[in-house]
Amino acid sequence: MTTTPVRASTWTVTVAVPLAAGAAVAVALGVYGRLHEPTGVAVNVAGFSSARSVKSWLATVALLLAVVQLVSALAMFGRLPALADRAWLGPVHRWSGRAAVAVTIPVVAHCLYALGFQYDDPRVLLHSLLGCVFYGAFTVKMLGLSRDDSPGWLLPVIGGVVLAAFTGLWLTSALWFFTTFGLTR
Amino acid sequence: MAHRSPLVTLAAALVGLVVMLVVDSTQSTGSPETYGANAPVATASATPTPTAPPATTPTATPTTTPKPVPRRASVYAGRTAAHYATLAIAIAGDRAAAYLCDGRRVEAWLTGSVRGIRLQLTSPRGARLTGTLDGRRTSITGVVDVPGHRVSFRITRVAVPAGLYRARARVRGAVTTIGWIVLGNGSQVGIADDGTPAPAPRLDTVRGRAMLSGVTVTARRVSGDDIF
Repeated sequence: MTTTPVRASTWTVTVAVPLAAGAAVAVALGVYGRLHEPTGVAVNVAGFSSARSVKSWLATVALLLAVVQLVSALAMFGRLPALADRAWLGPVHRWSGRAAVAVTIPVVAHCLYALGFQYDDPRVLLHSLLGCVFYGAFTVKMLGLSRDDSPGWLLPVIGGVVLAAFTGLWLTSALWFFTTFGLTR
Repeated sequence: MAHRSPLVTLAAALVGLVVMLVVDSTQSTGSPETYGANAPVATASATPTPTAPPATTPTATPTTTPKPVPRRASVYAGRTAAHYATLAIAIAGDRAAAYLCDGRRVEAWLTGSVRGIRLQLTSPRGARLTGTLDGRRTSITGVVDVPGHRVSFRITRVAVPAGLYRARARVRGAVTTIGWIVLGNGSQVGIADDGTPAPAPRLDTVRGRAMLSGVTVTARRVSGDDIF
Protein backbone atom coordinates (compact mmCIF):
# COMPACT_ATOMS: atom_id res chain seq x y z
CA MET A 1 0.00 0.00 0.00
CA THR A 2 2.62 2.46 -0.98
CA THR A 3 0.08 4.63 -2.74
CA THR A 4 -1.80 5.52 0.39
CA PRO A 5 0.59 8.15 1.72
CA VAL A 6 0.93 9.63 -1.77
CA ARG A 7 -2.83 9.84 -2.10
CA ALA A 8 -3.12 11.29 1.33
CA SER A 9 -0.59 13.98 0.62
CA THR A 10 -2.21 14.76 -2.74
CA TRP A 11 -5.54 15.07 -1.04
CA THR A 12 -3.95 17.33 1.55
CA VAL A 13 -2.53 19.63 -1.08
CA THR A 14 -5.49 19.68 -3.44
CA VAL A 15 -8.40 19.74 -0.99
CA ALA A 16 -7.38 20.39 2.59
CA VAL A 17 -5.10 23.34 1.90
CA PRO A 18 -7.60 25.27 -0.26
CA LEU A 19 -10.41 24.53 2.18
CA ALA A 20 -8.30 25.63 5.12
CA ALA A 21 -7.28 28.79 3.31
CA GLY A 22 -10.89 29.52 2.43
CA ALA A 23 -11.99 28.94 6.00
CA ALA A 24 -9.24 31.26 7.20
CA VAL A 25 -10.41 33.98 4.80
CA ALA A 26 -14.03 33.58 5.94
CA VAL A 27 -13.07 33.73 9.61
CA ALA A 28 -10.70 36.65 9.05
CA LEU A 29 -13.42 38.67 7.32
CA GLY A 30 -15.89 37.93 10.10
CA VAL A 31 -13.42 38.80 12.83
CA TYR A 32 -12.41 42.02 11.07
CA GLY A 33 -16.07 42.90 10.58
CA ARG A 34 -16.73 42.37 14.25
CA LEU A 35 -13.62 43.99 15.71
CA HIS A 36 -13.36 47.00 13.45
CA GLU A 37 -15.52 49.75 14.86
CA PRO A 38 -18.06 50.48 12.11
CA THR A 39 -17.60 54.01 10.88
CA GLY A 40 -20.93 54.35 9.12
CA VAL A 41 -19.18 56.56 6.59
CA ALA A 42 -19.30 55.71 2.94
CA VAL A 43 -17.70 56.84 -0.27
CA ASN A 44 -20.33 58.80 -2.11
CA VAL A 45 -20.67 57.99 -5.77
CA ALA A 46 -21.94 60.69 -8.09
CA GLY A 47 -25.35 59.98 -9.57
CA PHE A 48 -26.56 57.78 -6.77
CA SER A 49 -28.61 58.78 -3.79
CA SER A 50 -26.72 56.71 -1.25
CA ALA A 51 -24.05 54.10 -0.79
CA ARG A 52 -26.81 51.58 -0.28
CA SER A 53 -28.21 52.11 -3.74
CA VAL A 54 -24.72 52.01 -5.26
CA LYS A 55 -24.11 48.72 -3.50
CA SER A 56 -27.47 47.32 -4.53
CA TRP A 57 -26.86 48.13 -8.18
CA LEU A 58 -23.30 46.79 -8.11
CA ALA A 59 -24.59 43.62 -6.49
CA THR A 60 -27.24 43.33 -9.19
CA VAL A 61 -24.57 43.65 -11.89
CA ALA A 62 -22.64 40.91 -10.10
CA LEU A 63 -25.77 38.77 -9.99
CA LEU A 64 -26.22 39.07 -13.76
CA LEU A 65 -22.57 38.09 -14.19
CA ALA A 66 -23.20 35.19 -11.82
CA VAL A 67 -25.93 33.97 -14.19
CA VAL A 68 -23.34 34.09 -16.98
CA GLN A 69 -21.08 32.10 -14.66
CA LEU A 70 -23.72 29.45 -14.11
CA VAL A 71 -24.58 29.07 -17.79
CA SER A 72 -20.96 28.99 -18.95
CA ALA A 73 -20.04 26.52 -16.20
CA LEU A 74 -22.91 24.22 -17.15
CA ALA A 75 -21.79 24.41 -20.77
CA MET A 76 -18.17 23.67 -19.90
CA PHE A 77 -19.25 20.60 -17.99
CA GLY A 78 -21.29 19.44 -20.98
CA ARG A 79 -24.70 20.03 -19.47
CA LEU A 80 -25.83 22.32 -22.26
CA PRO A 81 -25.39 20.41 -25.52
CA ALA A 82 -26.22 23.48 -27.56
CA LEU A 83 -23.14 25.23 -26.21
CA ALA A 84 -20.83 22.26 -25.94
CA ASP A 85 -17.15 22.72 -26.77
CA ARG A 86 -17.32 26.34 -27.75
CA ALA A 87 -13.86 27.85 -27.59
CA TRP A 88 -15.10 31.07 -25.98
CA LEU A 89 -16.68 29.35 -22.98
CA GLY A 90 -13.51 29.33 -20.90
CA PRO A 91 -12.59 32.98 -21.46
CA VAL A 92 -16.19 34.07 -20.93
CA HIS A 93 -16.38 32.11 -17.69
CA ARG A 94 -13.06 33.44 -16.43
CA TRP A 95 -13.64 37.07 -17.29
CA SER A 96 -17.26 37.24 -16.21
CA GLY A 97 -16.14 35.72 -12.92
CA ARG A 98 -13.36 38.24 -12.50
CA ALA A 99 -15.72 41.06 -13.34
CA ALA A 100 -18.30 39.75 -10.88
CA VAL A 101 -15.78 39.61 -8.05
CA ALA A 102 -14.38 42.99 -9.05
CA VAL A 103 -17.73 44.74 -8.74
CA THR A 104 -18.31 43.15 -5.34
CA ILE A 105 -15.03 44.50 -3.94
CA PRO A 106 -16.26 48.08 -3.30
CA VAL A 107 -19.43 46.59 -1.84
CA VAL A 108 -17.69 44.30 0.63
CA ALA A 109 -15.22 47.04 1.54
CA HIS A 110 -18.14 49.28 2.49
CA CYS A 111 -19.86 46.44 4.34
CA LEU A 112 -16.73 45.68 6.34
CA TYR A 113 -15.53 49.20 6.95
CA ALA A 114 -18.73 51.14 7.47
CA LEU A 115 -21.06 48.50 8.86
CA GLY A 116 -19.18 45.47 10.14
CA PHE A 117 -20.47 42.04 11.00
CA GLN A 118 -23.89 42.49 12.58
CA TYR A 119 -26.49 40.16 13.95
CA ASP A 120 -29.26 42.50 15.00
CA ASP A 121 -31.81 40.73 12.87
CA PRO A 122 -31.90 37.46 10.91
CA ARG A 123 -31.52 39.11 7.52
CA VAL A 124 -28.41 40.95 8.62
CA LEU A 125 -26.96 37.93 10.40
CA LEU A 126 -27.51 35.76 7.33
CA HIS A 127 -26.01 38.43 5.10
CA SER A 128 -22.94 38.78 7.32
CA LEU A 129 -22.40 35.02 7.41
CA LEU A 130 -22.93 34.60 3.66
CA GLY A 131 -20.47 37.42 2.98
CA CYS A 132 -17.77 35.53 4.86
CA VAL A 133 -18.72 32.25 3.18
CA PHE A 134 -18.69 33.81 -0.28
CA TYR A 135 -15.12 35.11 -0.13
CA GLY A 136 -13.94 31.97 1.64
CA ALA A 137 -15.44 29.81 -1.09
CA PHE A 138 -14.05 32.12 -3.76
CA THR A 139 -10.60 31.63 -2.24
CA VAL A 140 -11.05 27.84 -2.28
CA LYS A 141 -12.13 27.99 -5.91
CA MET A 142 -9.15 30.08 -7.03
CA LEU A 143 -6.74 27.80 -5.18
CA GLY A 144 -8.48 24.72 -6.54
CA LEU A 145 -8.30 26.10 -10.09
CA SER A 146 -4.59 26.65 -9.79
CA ARG A 147 -3.93 22.89 -9.79
CA ASP A 148 -4.64 20.28 -12.45
CA ASP A 149 -4.78 17.46 -9.92
CA SER A 150 -7.71 18.79 -7.92
CA PRO A 151 -10.43 16.17 -7.54
CA GLY A 152 -13.15 16.53 -10.17
CA TRP A 153 -15.90 17.32 -7.68
CA LEU A 154 -14.09 20.23 -6.07
CA LEU A 155 -14.78 22.93 -8.67
CA PRO A 156 -18.49 22.16 -9.25
CA VAL A 157 -19.13 21.92 -5.52
CA ILE A 158 -17.23 25.06 -4.58
CA GLY A 159 -18.57 26.90 -7.61
CA GLY A 160 -22.04 25.96 -6.45
CA VAL A 161 -21.26 27.24 -2.96
CA VAL A 162 -19.97 30.52 -4.40
CA LEU A 163 -23.09 30.95 -6.54
CA ALA A 164 -25.48 29.99 -3.74
CA ALA A 165 -23.74 32.28 -1.27
CA PHE A 166 -23.81 35.17 -3.71
CA THR A 167 -27.48 34.63 -4.51
CA GLY A 168 -28.20 34.65 -0.79
CA LEU A 169 -26.17 37.83 -0.38
CA TRP A 170 -28.12 39.54 -3.12
CA LEU A 171 -31.48 38.39 -1.75
CA THR A 172 -30.64 39.62 1.76
CA SER A 173 -29.33 42.99 0.60
CA ALA A 174 -30.16 44.31 -2.85
CA LEU A 175 -33.55 42.63 -3.18
CA TRP A 176 -34.40 43.77 0.33
CA PHE A 177 -33.25 47.28 -0.54
CA PHE A 178 -35.21 47.47 -3.79
CA THR A 179 -38.38 46.06 -2.24
CA THR A 180 -38.09 48.37 0.77
CA PHE A 181 -37.06 51.58 -0.91
CA GLY A 182 -38.03 50.99 -4.53
CA LEU A 183 -35.82 50.84 -7.59
CA THR A 184 -33.98 54.02 -6.74
CA ARG A 185 -30.62 55.13 -7.90
CA MET B 1 0.79 21.64 -12.90
CA ALA B 2 0.11 24.89 -11.17
CA HIS B 3 -1.68 27.65 -13.02
CA ARG B 4 -0.90 31.19 -12.09
CA SER B 5 -3.93 33.04 -13.36
CA PRO B 6 -6.42 32.01 -10.62
CA LEU B 7 -3.81 32.96 -8.04
CA VAL B 8 -3.35 36.30 -9.78
CA THR B 9 -7.13 36.77 -9.71
CA LEU B 10 -7.18 35.96 -6.01
CA ALA B 11 -4.30 38.32 -5.29
CA ALA B 12 -5.95 41.05 -7.36
CA ALA B 13 -9.17 40.66 -5.40
CA LEU B 14 -7.24 40.94 -2.14
CA VAL B 15 -5.34 44.00 -3.33
CA GLY B 16 -8.59 45.54 -4.53
CA LEU B 17 -10.19 44.96 -1.16
CA VAL B 18 -7.27 46.50 0.68
CA VAL B 19 -7.29 49.50 -1.66
CA MET B 20 -11.02 49.99 -1.15
CA LEU B 21 -10.65 49.75 2.62
CA VAL B 22 -7.91 52.37 2.47
CA VAL B 23 -10.11 54.58 0.28
CA ASP B 24 -12.95 54.16 2.75
CA SER B 25 -10.65 54.98 5.64
CA THR B 26 -9.89 58.35 4.03
CA GLN B 27 -13.58 59.26 4.06
CA SER B 28 -13.63 60.97 7.41
CA THR B 29 -16.40 63.33 6.41
CA GLY B 30 -19.73 62.75 4.80
CA SER B 31 -23.05 61.66 6.05
CA PRO B 32 -22.83 58.72 8.40
CA GLU B 33 -24.94 55.98 7.08
CA THR B 34 -25.92 53.03 9.12
CA TYR B 35 -28.15 50.26 8.12
CA GLY B 36 -28.71 46.67 8.77
CA ALA B 37 -31.06 46.07 11.62
CA ASN B 38 -31.96 49.71 11.63
CA ALA B 39 -32.66 49.80 7.96
CA PRO B 40 -36.27 48.63 7.84
CA VAL B 41 -37.10 51.81 9.66
CA ALA B 42 -39.18 53.98 7.47
CA THR B 43 -38.45 57.66 7.66
CA ALA B 44 -40.66 59.53 10.02
CA SER B 45 -42.21 61.68 7.33
CA ALA B 46 -42.91 58.70 5.12
CA THR B 47 -45.04 56.67 7.47
CA PRO B 48 -47.38 58.69 9.60
CA THR B 49 -49.50 56.50 11.82
CA PRO B 50 -52.97 56.16 10.41
CA THR B 51 -54.53 57.06 13.74
CA ALA B 52 -52.57 60.25 14.15
CA PRO B 53 -52.88 63.45 12.14
CA PRO B 54 -50.14 62.94 9.58
CA ALA B 55 -48.69 66.39 9.54
CA THR B 56 -48.43 67.00 13.25
CA THR B 57 -47.31 63.76 14.83
CA PRO B 58 -45.32 61.58 12.53
CA THR B 59 -44.33 58.31 14.11
CA ALA B 60 -41.08 56.53 13.64
CA THR B 61 -41.50 52.82 13.24
CA PRO B 62 -39.55 50.91 15.85
CA THR B 63 -36.92 48.75 14.28
CA THR B 64 -37.20 45.94 16.70
CA THR B 65 -40.55 44.32 16.90
CA PRO B 66 -41.80 44.47 20.46
CA LYS B 67 -41.79 41.03 21.98
CA PRO B 68 -45.37 39.81 22.00
CA VAL B 69 -45.25 37.84 25.21
CA PRO B 70 -43.60 39.28 28.28
CA ARG B 71 -41.05 36.79 29.49
CA ARG B 72 -39.93 36.09 32.97
CA ALA B 73 -37.05 38.48 33.14
CA SER B 74 -35.40 39.94 36.19
CA VAL B 75 -34.12 43.48 35.99
CA TYR B 76 -31.64 45.03 38.39
CA ALA B 77 -30.95 48.73 38.42
CA GLY B 78 -29.11 51.30 40.45
CA ARG B 79 -26.25 53.73 40.60
CA THR B 80 -22.65 52.66 40.47
CA ALA B 81 -20.08 53.61 43.08
CA ALA B 82 -19.01 57.25 43.21
CA HIS B 83 -22.19 58.22 41.31
CA TYR B 84 -20.28 57.67 38.11
CA ALA B 85 -23.25 56.33 36.19
CA THR B 86 -26.44 54.33 36.37
CA LEU B 87 -26.51 50.67 35.51
CA ALA B 88 -29.28 48.23 34.67
CA ILE B 89 -28.92 44.52 34.08
CA ALA B 90 -31.69 42.31 32.69
CA ILE B 91 -31.47 38.56 33.09
CA ALA B 92 -33.48 35.98 31.16
CA GLY B 93 -32.42 32.43 31.87
CA ASP B 94 -28.73 32.18 31.16
CA ARG B 95 -28.56 35.36 29.11
CA ALA B 96 -28.04 38.87 30.38
CA ALA B 97 -28.09 42.33 28.88
CA ALA B 98 -26.93 45.51 30.53
CA TYR B 99 -26.85 49.22 29.94
CA LEU B 100 -24.48 51.62 31.61
CA CYS B 101 -25.32 55.27 31.18
CA ASP B 102 -24.40 58.58 32.80
CA GLY B 103 -27.25 60.48 31.16
CA ARG B 104 -24.92 62.78 29.28
CA ARG B 105 -22.42 61.06 27.05
CA VAL B 106 -21.04 57.83 28.55
CA GLU B 107 -23.03 54.76 27.65
CA ALA B 108 -22.44 51.10 26.94
CA TRP B 109 -24.75 48.29 25.83
CA LEU B 110 -23.48 44.92 26.99
CA THR B 111 -24.62 41.35 26.49
CA GLY B 112 -23.41 38.14 28.01
CA SER B 113 -24.13 35.05 29.99
CA VAL B 114 -25.19 33.98 33.43
CA ARG B 115 -23.57 30.84 34.83
CA GLY B 116 -25.06 30.03 38.20
CA ILE B 117 -24.61 33.30 40.05
CA ARG B 118 -21.81 34.66 37.86
CA LEU B 119 -22.41 37.22 35.13
CA GLN B 120 -20.01 37.99 32.32
CA LEU B 121 -20.98 40.67 29.82
CA THR B 122 -19.14 42.54 27.11
CA SER B 123 -19.92 45.17 24.52
CA PRO B 124 -18.62 45.39 20.95
CA ARG B 125 -16.89 48.63 21.93
CA GLY B 126 -14.79 47.03 24.65
CA ALA B 127 -16.82 47.50 27.83
CA ARG B 128 -16.77 44.57 30.26
CA LEU B 129 -18.90 43.71 33.22
CA THR B 130 -18.49 40.97 35.77
CA GLY B 131 -21.01 40.48 38.51
CA THR B 132 -22.28 38.09 41.12
CA LEU B 133 -25.88 37.49 42.11
CA ASP B 134 -26.57 37.16 45.79
CA GLY B 135 -28.08 33.95 47.11
CA ARG B 136 -31.67 35.12 46.88
CA ARG B 137 -31.04 36.80 43.54
CA THR B 138 -32.18 40.17 44.82
CA SER B 139 -29.00 42.08 44.04
CA ILE B 140 -25.90 41.99 41.87
CA THR B 141 -22.49 43.21 42.91
CA GLY B 142 -19.64 43.60 40.51
CA VAL B 143 -17.33 45.73 38.46
CA VAL B 144 -17.82 47.34 35.09
CA ASP B 145 -14.97 48.51 32.89
CA VAL B 146 -15.49 51.03 30.17
CA PRO B 147 -12.51 52.35 28.23
CA GLY B 148 -10.71 54.63 30.68
CA HIS B 149 -12.86 53.83 33.68
CA ARG B 150 -13.38 51.04 36.18
CA VAL B 151 -16.26 51.31 38.58
CA SER B 152 -17.86 48.95 41.07
CA PHE B 153 -21.57 48.58 41.71
CA ARG B 154 -24.21 46.97 43.80
CA ILE B 155 -27.66 47.17 42.24
CA THR B 156 -30.92 45.66 43.39
CA ARG B 157 -33.85 44.02 41.69
CA VAL B 158 -36.55 46.42 40.52
CA ALA B 159 -40.17 45.92 39.52
CA VAL B 160 -42.14 47.27 36.57
CA PRO B 161 -42.27 50.06 35.51
CA ALA B 162 -38.70 50.36 36.71
CA GLY B 163 -36.26 48.62 34.42
CA LEU B 164 -34.32 48.90 31.21
CA TYR B 165 -35.84 50.25 27.98
CA ARG B 166 -34.47 50.66 24.51
CA ALA B 167 -35.67 52.25 21.31
CA ARG B 168 -34.12 52.32 17.89
CA ALA B 169 -35.65 54.42 15.19
CA ARG B 170 -34.85 56.70 12.31
CA VAL B 171 -35.49 60.22 13.46
CA ARG B 172 -35.08 63.01 10.94
CA GLY B 173 -32.86 60.83 8.79
CA ALA B 174 -30.54 59.67 11.57
CA VAL B 175 -30.76 56.22 13.06
CA THR B 176 -30.99 56.82 16.76
CA THR B 177 -30.62 54.39 19.61
CA ILE B 178 -32.09 55.46 22.92
CA GLY B 179 -31.55 53.71 26.21
CA TRP B 180 -33.37 54.44 29.44
CA ILE B 181 -32.87 53.14 32.93
CA VAL B 182 -35.91 53.70 35.11
CA LEU B 183 -35.08 53.34 38.79
CA GLY B 184 -37.33 52.09 41.54
CA ASN B 185 -38.14 55.64 42.62
CA GLY B 186 -39.31 56.50 39.12
CA SER B 187 -36.32 58.61 38.14
CA GLN B 188 -34.92 58.10 34.67
CA VAL B 189 -31.49 58.23 33.14
CA GLY B 190 -30.99 57.85 29.42
CA ILE B 191 -29.03 58.73 26.35
CA ALA B 192 -30.18 59.21 22.78
CA ASP B 193 -27.37 58.44 20.36
CA ASP B 194 -27.64 59.34 16.70
CA GLY B 195 -23.88 59.43 16.38
CA THR B 196 -23.59 62.08 19.05
CA PRO B 197 -24.75 61.04 22.53
CA ALA B 198 -27.23 63.41 24.17
CA PRO B 199 -29.61 63.18 27.13
CA ALA B 200 -32.65 61.09 26.28
CA PRO B 201 -36.15 62.55 26.23
CA ARG B 202 -38.48 61.48 28.99
CA LEU B 203 -39.95 58.03 28.53
CA ASP B 204 -43.63 57.44 29.11
CA THR B 205 -43.27 54.05 30.80
CA VAL B 206 -46.99 53.35 30.62
CA ARG B 207 -47.24 53.68 26.86
CA GLY B 208 -43.62 52.85 26.16
CA ARG B 209 -43.17 55.97 24.12
CA ALA B 210 -41.05 59.07 24.01
CA MET B 211 -40.92 62.16 21.84
CA LEU B 212 -37.60 62.86 20.17
CA SER B 213 -37.32 65.96 17.97
CA GLY B 214 -41.09 65.92 17.50
CA VAL B 215 -41.15 62.28 16.50
CA THR B 216 -42.77 59.56 18.59
CA VAL B 217 -40.46 56.64 19.18
CA THR B 218 -41.55 53.35 20.65
CA ALA B 219 -39.44 51.74 23.34
CA ARG B 220 -39.43 48.16 24.47
CA ARG B 221 -38.31 46.58 27.68
CA VAL B 222 -34.97 44.88 27.48
CA SER B 223 -35.51 41.38 28.79
CA GLY B 224 -32.00 39.96 28.94
CA ASP B 225 -31.73 37.69 25.91
CA ASP B 226 -31.54 40.63 23.55
CA ILE B 227 -28.82 41.18 21.01
CA PHE B 228 -27.73 44.75 20.46
